[in-house]
Amino acid sequence: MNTTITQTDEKTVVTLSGRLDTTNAHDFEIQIQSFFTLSSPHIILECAGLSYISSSGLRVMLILKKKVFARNGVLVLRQMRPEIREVFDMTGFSSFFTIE
Amino acid sequence: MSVVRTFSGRLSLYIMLITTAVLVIAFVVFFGYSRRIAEENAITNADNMLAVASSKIDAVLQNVETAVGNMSSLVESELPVPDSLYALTRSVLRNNQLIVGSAIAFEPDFFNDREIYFSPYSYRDKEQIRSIQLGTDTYHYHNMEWYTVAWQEKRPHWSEPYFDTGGGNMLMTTYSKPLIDRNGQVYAIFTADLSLDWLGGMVADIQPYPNSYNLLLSRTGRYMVHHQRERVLAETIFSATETMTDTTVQYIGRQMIAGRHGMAVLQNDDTLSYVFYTPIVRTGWSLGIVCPHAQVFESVEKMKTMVILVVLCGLLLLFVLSYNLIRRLTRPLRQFADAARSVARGDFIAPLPCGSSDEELRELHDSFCFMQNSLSGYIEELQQSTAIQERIESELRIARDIQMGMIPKIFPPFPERDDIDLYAELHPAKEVGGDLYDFFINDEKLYFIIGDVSGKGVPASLFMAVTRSLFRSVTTYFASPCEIIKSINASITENNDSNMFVTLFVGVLDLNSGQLDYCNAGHNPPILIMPGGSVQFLRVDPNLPVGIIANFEYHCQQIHLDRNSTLFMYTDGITEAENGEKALYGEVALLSKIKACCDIEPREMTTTVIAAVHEHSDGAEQNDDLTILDIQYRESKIEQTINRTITLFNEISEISRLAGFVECLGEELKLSPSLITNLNLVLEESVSNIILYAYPEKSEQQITVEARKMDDSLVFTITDCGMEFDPTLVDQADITLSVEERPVGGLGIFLIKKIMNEVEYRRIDGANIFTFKKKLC
Repeated sequence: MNTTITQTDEKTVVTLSGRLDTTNAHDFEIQIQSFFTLSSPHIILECAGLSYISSSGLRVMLILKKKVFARNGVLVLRQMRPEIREVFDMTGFSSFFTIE
Repeated sequence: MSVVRTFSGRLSLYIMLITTAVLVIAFVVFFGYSRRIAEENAITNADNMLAVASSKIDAVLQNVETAVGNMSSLVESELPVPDSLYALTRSVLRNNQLIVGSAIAFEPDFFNDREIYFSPYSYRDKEQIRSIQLGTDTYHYHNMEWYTVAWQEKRPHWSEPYFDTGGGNMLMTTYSKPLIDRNGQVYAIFTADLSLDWLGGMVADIQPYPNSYNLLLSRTGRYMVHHQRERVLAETIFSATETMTDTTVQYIGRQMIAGRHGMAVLQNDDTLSYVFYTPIVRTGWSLGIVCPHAQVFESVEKMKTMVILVVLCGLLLLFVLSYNLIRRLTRPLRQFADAARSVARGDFIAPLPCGSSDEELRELHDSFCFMQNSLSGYIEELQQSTAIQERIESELRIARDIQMGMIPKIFPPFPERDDIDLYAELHPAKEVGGDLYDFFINDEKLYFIIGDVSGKGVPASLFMAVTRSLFRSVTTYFASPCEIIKSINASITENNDSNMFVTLFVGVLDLNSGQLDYCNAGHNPPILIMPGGSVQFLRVDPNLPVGIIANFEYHCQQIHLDRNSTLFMYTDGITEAENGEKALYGEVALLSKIKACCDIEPREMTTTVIAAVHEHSDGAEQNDDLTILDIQYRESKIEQTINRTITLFNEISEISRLAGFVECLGEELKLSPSLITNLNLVLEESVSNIILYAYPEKSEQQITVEARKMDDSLVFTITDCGMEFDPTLVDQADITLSVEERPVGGLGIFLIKKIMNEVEYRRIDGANIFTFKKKLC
């Protein structure tokens, strides 16, 4: 999986492409740890290139959501592919993630 | 056991037979001789008796003749006084008591002063002697026989015997002597009547045998003495025997009355008799003795019976004695026979008969001892070497079983598929060999290998086992034939102290496309049979055999196989099979054989070629292993049921291979992207769980994932040998919780259950088997 992080004024745009699975979920978790120190972070995850997410990926997503939520930040997932959306729906993640 | 079948019995019998034969010959000679002696004795005896009797009779008759002769000389002087002639006749009677009457019968008219017929006659009347004048007018004596015969013949004459009708019915005979004057004229006949009563007694005294009887015949053959008294004078020997069939008696009668002396054998009423006869010359009578034949030889017969009895008893005794004697002599032989049987049963210390003084038996005893010792030595050696041999053979048999167990031997190996037919045979020249073949299908690809290790026997077989195992393990990592061979080469060259090598041909046939990737490492080029029947050797690059140079760069080749092509692979045991003349079977012959049978199935093709090779070698010893691997790639008529398997190691990097597996599967089954993602999710969850948690000690382990499409369902089976873990028992994640309350884990099993229609876990033989099914609608 490739991750591109673009920092603008208040927003951090993370572009995801490829597969987020057990093999790289841990790497992704380390990459996003820098966000945890921000106050009121506004993070946008561009998911158009995300072809697959495993439960490990979901777990990292959940950790990120919890951290952002604890700091009154905003986490938006954008342009999610339908098959990824289906996984979010199945797991009930759709209910507390902002998906645009 | 029959006595005749034993040596002693037979020998005794032979002795008996020879003895009997000798005895019979002696017996026949002896009895022939005895009979002759008996006969001669009988003849001599009879002759003697007859001689005595005839001389006695003759003496009596001579007395009469003498008496008459003495008196007749006085007649002439007494003629002048005719009455004095009575006294002469009386003196004759006085001189001889047997004479019962005497007369001097003169010629008629001899005396002028007397009657015409003058005949003074004296006779005995009781004790008195009386004299009368015999001649009367009515009794013309000169016509009587006693008178006329003597008168005519002018010599004395004895009359035929007759019964005296006058006094006492006696048997009589009359002696007539003619008295002749000076002129030679008979002038009177002097007679003496002789009583013959004494004859019967005298003749009866001749009794050489108890049942013999005698007879006396007169000149005419009339019976004078006969044991049947009524026949006396009543019958002649001829009249009495007229009715007899045997004419011998007639002949005897003629001989007797002819005055002959002799003997004859007579058959009379089933009785054989000897007849001895002798004449009494003086009167022309004949005296005979009739002796029953049986009595003549009675003593001989008695002796014969006794001798036969004695001989029989003797033979029986001889048989019993010789049988027992020979048995006793051959007892050591029987003991040797028993000992030989014991030896045959494996008992080499069977006791032998000893102490025999016979040279032959002692020699046999020594030979037997020597044989027992040698045999027991040999058997011991043989047992030892056989045990070693058996152990080696048994080990080799086991090795062969193990080796044969390494190569697939169930044909057809893929009965569910109709796009591939495959047959292989491996015939090691010895118990174990260095040839190998192997094949399997993974992910719609047929991996196959055929190879030939340098050398034969056990070393080659070990090398073969290594190569085959390497092939199996290497193919889990590499799908390209040259990579497979390179990897095998690397492993082998690393520790190849024995400098062995193996020629290999490895192919990977994509069963969907027909693309064949292959790499030939110094192996015989396979024969490719095209659908049209064209047959040719597959073009192969000249690569080195495996095990020679590490890091050798093996080149891969590629060819597209049309459906209904056949790839015929073999080892050099086929082409280099030798016959008795050391001629090789050769590639040309193989190629033409394949051409001749290019349209038959792999199994038949393989057996045909092997039969042709055997025919070529014609019983010559197989000097190399023979292997054939024949693969036919065919048109598939049935829709494929998808069955895919992937084997993963317990490393997290394997997850990407798993993703590739699911991608391919999805592509093949034309699944929707979301279903592919879901399946990916499910498999990743399950497999990563196993990778992360099933093996706490982190040793290298394998996880098998099998995907099968059955009807409208897709079934996955994940097998691992890690810790027992039933994912179905894990608590489900509660998706209704708020983001703060949601735990970060526990999603995996939730997703599996959510996505799949059926989930099942089993623990079998230390393996976790996790199965889940997804309906495709």
